[in-house]
Amino acid sequence: MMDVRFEGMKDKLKNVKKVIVVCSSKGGVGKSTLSYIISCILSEDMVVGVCDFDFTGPSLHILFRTDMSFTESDGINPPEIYKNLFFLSVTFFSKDKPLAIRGSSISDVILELLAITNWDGVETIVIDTPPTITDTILEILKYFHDAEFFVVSSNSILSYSTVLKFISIIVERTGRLPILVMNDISGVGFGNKSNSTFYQELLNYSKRTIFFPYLNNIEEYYGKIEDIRKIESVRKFKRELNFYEKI
Amino acid sequence: MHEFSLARATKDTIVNKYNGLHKFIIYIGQIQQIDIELFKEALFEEIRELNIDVVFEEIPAKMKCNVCQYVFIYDKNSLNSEEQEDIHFLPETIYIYLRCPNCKSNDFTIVEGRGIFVKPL
Ligand SMILES: Nc1ncnc2c1ncn2[C@@H]1O[C@H](COP(=O)(O)OP(=O)(O)OP(=O)(O)O)[C@@H](O)[C@H]1O
Ligand SMILES: [Mg+2]
Ligand SMILES: [Zn+2]
Repeated sequence: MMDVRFEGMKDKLKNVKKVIVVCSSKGGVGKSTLSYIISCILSEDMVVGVCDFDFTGPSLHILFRTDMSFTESDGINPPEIYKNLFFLSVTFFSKDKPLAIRGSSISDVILELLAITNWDGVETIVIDTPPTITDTILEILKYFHDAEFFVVSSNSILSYSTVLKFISIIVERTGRLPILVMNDISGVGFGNKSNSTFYQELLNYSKRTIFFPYLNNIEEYYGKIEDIRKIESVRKFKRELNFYEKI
Repeated sequence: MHEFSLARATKDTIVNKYNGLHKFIIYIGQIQQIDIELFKEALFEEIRELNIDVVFEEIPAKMKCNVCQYVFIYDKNSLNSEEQEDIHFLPETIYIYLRCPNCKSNDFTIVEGRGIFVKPL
C-alpha cells in the first residue's frame, strides 16, 4: 500500500533548483530571523519560496508582517507577499490557533504541504525549522538530501556544544558539511569565547562559517523588505553567502 | 480544489511504483472530505489510455485518544464549515478543533482514514 503524496510531492517540487534549510539544535538563536533575511536578499535575484515549518511556533508571518493566504487552483498557490517572494505557512490553515501535534502528525503535515503546494516559477525554497533534531528535521533530511543546511549558533558555549552534535547528524545523513552561521544575538561578539575548544571545533566542522552581527532595533525591520536589504551588514552577509554561482 | 493534484499523484503512484500491474484498489480517507466524484472523474481521465482498472473504498476517520485510549470516529457534522475546510486542506488542523468525546483531550492519533493510498489487487 502506497501513500500517493510521495509522488505528488515529487511532481510539485520538480522545478525547484535549490532548497535551503535554516536549522539549529538550539532554540532562540535566530533561525527565523535569518530565514527572513536570507529570503529577502535572495529574492532580489531569483524567485524564492519561503516556508515556515515550525508548525507549533510559526513566526515568519510576523517577521514578514503578512496576513496573506493561499489561493486555490489544482492545489494551493502560496501568496506572493513581495516581488519574487512566495510564502507558505501552516497559519494559512491553523490561523492564530495553537496546533499541538507530535510524531507522525508532523511528518504528515510536511508531506501534505509539499504534496499540495504549487511552486511554479520558484527556483529556491528557504525552510525555517523548529529547534533540535525533531521529526521536522528528520523528514527534511529524508526528502531534501541535496539541500544546503544553514546551521545557526549563537555565541554561547552551550550552543556550540549542542550544535556540534547537530552538525554531526547532518553530516552523517547528507554526507556533506553544512554552512555555519554564527549569529551574534546578544551583541557581545564572539571574541570572548573564541578560546573554547567547542568553538574551534565548530569552525572546523562546517564548509564555511559566516558571522552575522547583532542588529539594533531589529523589530523595526519586520515587514520592511527593502529596508532590510539596505542594511550594510546584511549586504555584507549577502556577499559572503555567494552561493549563487552554484544554482 | 486539489482533487486534480491528488488524482495526478495517484496516477503517478500507479505508473511509477507499480509499473506493469493493472488492478488497484484506491483507499480514500474520509477525514479530508475529498470530492470523490470529482476525484474519480479526474483519475479516470488521467489513466484513460493506460489499461488500468481501479476500485475505490472510503475509509472512515478513526481516532484513538492518547490519554484515555478511547477510540472514536470523526463526524464532520460536529464541526462548522470553516473548520471542515481547514481540515480538507490540512487534516492535522483537526487537532485544533476536535476533542476526545470521552476525556476532552486533543492528544489523539488519527489511526485510519487519512489520505489516499494505492494497493495493487
Ligand atoms: N542578529 C540579531 N540581532 C539582534 N537580535 C537578533 C538577531 N538574531 C535574532 N535576534 C533576536 O533573537 C530572538 C530569537 O530570534 P528568532 O526567533 O529568529 O530565533 P529562532 O531560532 O527562530 O527561535 P525558535 O527556536 O523559537 O524558533 C528574537 O527576539 C530576535 O529578534
Ligand atoms: Mg523560529
Ligand atoms: Zn480521551
